[in-house]
Amino acid sequence: MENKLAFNNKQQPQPAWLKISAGLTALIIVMGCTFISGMLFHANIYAQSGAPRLSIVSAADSSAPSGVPSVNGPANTPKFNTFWEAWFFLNEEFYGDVPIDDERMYGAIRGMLKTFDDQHTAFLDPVRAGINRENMGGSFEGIGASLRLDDSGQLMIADPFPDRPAILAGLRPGDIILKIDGESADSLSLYEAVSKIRGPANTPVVLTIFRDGESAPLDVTIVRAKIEIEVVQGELLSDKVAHIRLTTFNNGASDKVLREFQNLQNQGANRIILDLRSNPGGLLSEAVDVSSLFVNGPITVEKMKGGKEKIFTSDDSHQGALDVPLVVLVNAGSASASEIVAGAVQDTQRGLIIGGQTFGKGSVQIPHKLQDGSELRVTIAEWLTPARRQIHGEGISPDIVVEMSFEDVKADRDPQLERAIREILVQ
Amino acid sequence: MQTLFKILLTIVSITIIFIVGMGAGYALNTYLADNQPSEAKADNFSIYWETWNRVEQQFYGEIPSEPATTYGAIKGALATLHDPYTVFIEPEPAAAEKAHLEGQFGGIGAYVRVNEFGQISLDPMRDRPAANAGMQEGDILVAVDGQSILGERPADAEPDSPIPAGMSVDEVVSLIRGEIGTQVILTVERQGEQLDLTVERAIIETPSATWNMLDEDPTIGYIRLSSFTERSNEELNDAFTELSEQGAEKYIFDLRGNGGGLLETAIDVASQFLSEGLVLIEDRKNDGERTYEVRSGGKALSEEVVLLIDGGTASASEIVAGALKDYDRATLIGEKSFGKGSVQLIYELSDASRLHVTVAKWFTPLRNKIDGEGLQPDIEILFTEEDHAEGRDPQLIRAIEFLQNGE
Repeated sequence: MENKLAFNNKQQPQPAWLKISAGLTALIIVMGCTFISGMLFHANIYAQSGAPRLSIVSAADSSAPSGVPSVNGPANTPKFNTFWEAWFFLNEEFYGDVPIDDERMYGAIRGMLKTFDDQHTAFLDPVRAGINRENMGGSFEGIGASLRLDDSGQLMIADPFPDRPAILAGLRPGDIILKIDGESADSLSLYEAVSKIRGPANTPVVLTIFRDGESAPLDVTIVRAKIEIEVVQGELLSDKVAHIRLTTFNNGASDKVLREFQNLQNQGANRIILDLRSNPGGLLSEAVDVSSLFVNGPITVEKMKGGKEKIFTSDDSHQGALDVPLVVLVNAGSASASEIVAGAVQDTQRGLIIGGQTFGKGSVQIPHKLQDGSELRVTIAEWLTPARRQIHGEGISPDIVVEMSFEDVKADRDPQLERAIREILVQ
Repeated sequence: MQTLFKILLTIVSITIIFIVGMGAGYALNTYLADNQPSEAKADNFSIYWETWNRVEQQFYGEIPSEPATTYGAIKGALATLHDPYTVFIEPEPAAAEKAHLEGQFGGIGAYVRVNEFGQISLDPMRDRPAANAGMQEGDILVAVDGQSILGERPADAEPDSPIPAGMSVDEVVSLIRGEIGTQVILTVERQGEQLDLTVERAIIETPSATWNMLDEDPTIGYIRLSSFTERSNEELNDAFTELSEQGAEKYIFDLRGNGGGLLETAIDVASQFLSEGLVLIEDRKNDGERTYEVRSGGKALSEEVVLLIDGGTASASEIVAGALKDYDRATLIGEKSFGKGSVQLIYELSDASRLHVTVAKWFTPLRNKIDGEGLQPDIEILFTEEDHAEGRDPQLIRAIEFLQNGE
């Protein structure tokens, strides 16, 4: 009840961003494999302005492919002949369509990486990599709607965002996309479709859609615009608690958290609930910056190949900017960068961690943009909390465990948030 | 549990559901050994090597060993074809597959299975090294060359209850098998006593056919074929000769659970029942259509035949059943067959791994498509869990009835 009251008490009109947040969650879940897999990245290639502060290895510089990209491959893979034999026989004899060379090569890369037995060391083909890079950058140019495949595998508008081109052009949730600029969407993967719908701002895209109740397909012309991915949502609870939800650690996330708090502070907030539930991670630099808002000193320890270690400490520009009582909300969907923040807060006793046991993803990837625009992510390190606790496979145990049941979700109850409000109000 | 006992795990326990033309595979391989197929290489494979170099330099964990990464790459490339029958087999399982399809291997000549207590129970084949060394049916395996194969007694079990095996049948088999002419010492338990049997490994032929006259009717011969190996046709020659001498005038030919094998053998087996015509029509990527004719010398050309089929009847089995059905040569009883109508060639690659490539689809003589469809039985009889539990075979019973009453 406290929760409901608190929500009713909010002082700024919220429905619009609530809607956006729902849509973006879907967008991110559907379109951002980064977000699904809970990656933690060094920011090197994503940082769009300023020098990447956290660049640690020169090999990460994708503009300078150092290795030996030769057609014949390195000398240390003598057995690779077997691969070419297989390739030859498929070309000669396979009954059916042999996919183009690139697609088969991507398959080979995925198969090779699979033998490393690490789900976070992964390969994204150029289409997926492009979409993902945009998502991580914090904005993209498109129509402003999330897409998904329906049960029969058809491309569907899941949620058009308020005041964005898709909804302004009349698209509705549930619309089935038959064609994109006249080209059938039948054989397209979700990523291919998204990639075709996105495009430079101020250019048009024509979607041919089928809508329940309409006798014929409709052609809808939509002019693309720049769409900011809103990752921060804030609200004022009980007149003095800033409840700030961060959905992913993409570029600029820490500044947005800070700005949102300052905004709510002007309305009377003097304590903060940082909600990292179901936040699967993102950029390491942003994890450090968000932590720096609260914690002064070491934030995470990175353990690299060969035992080399690097300690990340709080960043001067953010350091202790939010010197107010703090609760961090987490759950089993809080992974990677979220766990870095929760770990740093817990080890320094800067605030209370409330909710469920976190995911337990304690490895760091470096993304490489390869020559053809595809992306390789390599697990290069493991990270530990400032007190050198291992997170991988373990997760963070909250100081106060509050579970959220399916019944709670159905009844629109949030016992974790309610508990957080209770705890923070007595501080 | 009853069904578990029925599952007799033979020494080669892999199931092959592929039709293969091995001759062609070997021929191409010889060609390859002299000419590396450099022309097959993609013009630009550099992204692969870029990936390899970076991951090898930077990966935090252990770098997998060399053949594993190449094999992973091959499997990944094959996955883009979306064909479940185009597969890569690493050298070790490839050797087992080869032994199976050739119908022989180096071993001791005993069936190995798991009994109701989870123990490894042995059953020697007649006149084979194991039997000659004194092995008896029901001997429980304890150790191989002194290495115990026992696991642990469950915590809640009686103190003197049997100790289950700690290894799978496959693991036990790989311990027992070895080079032909070498010896293996099996420690077995028989009526509470342990004894060591020294067995010399020899070439063992795995029979694919078993046969007998039916107790229920002295005019019906029953033949079961479990796979299509290089030796199957000879075995069937023996079966028909023996059974007809014993008075068989009609046959029940059981292809249930037979997942296929060699294409050549399928043609031979169909030809046992047919005097002329086509066995199948094959459509190849490069060569177009090719037909396979019935071969002469069949031994059951006029006798009435019932074929037993089920969901495990696939591939080569469906070639035989499809041809016999098209010519109204047999009555099909049982359940709908699996529906695999493609042909694979097996290529042996230079490191002894094997590549199965789907090279053709095939059709029955009347151009019925089997792939993805399967064959409908003329008389559908289900084999239920209850039937299993009670040791009943309603399909066989119906087959006997049909041969006796003509309907």
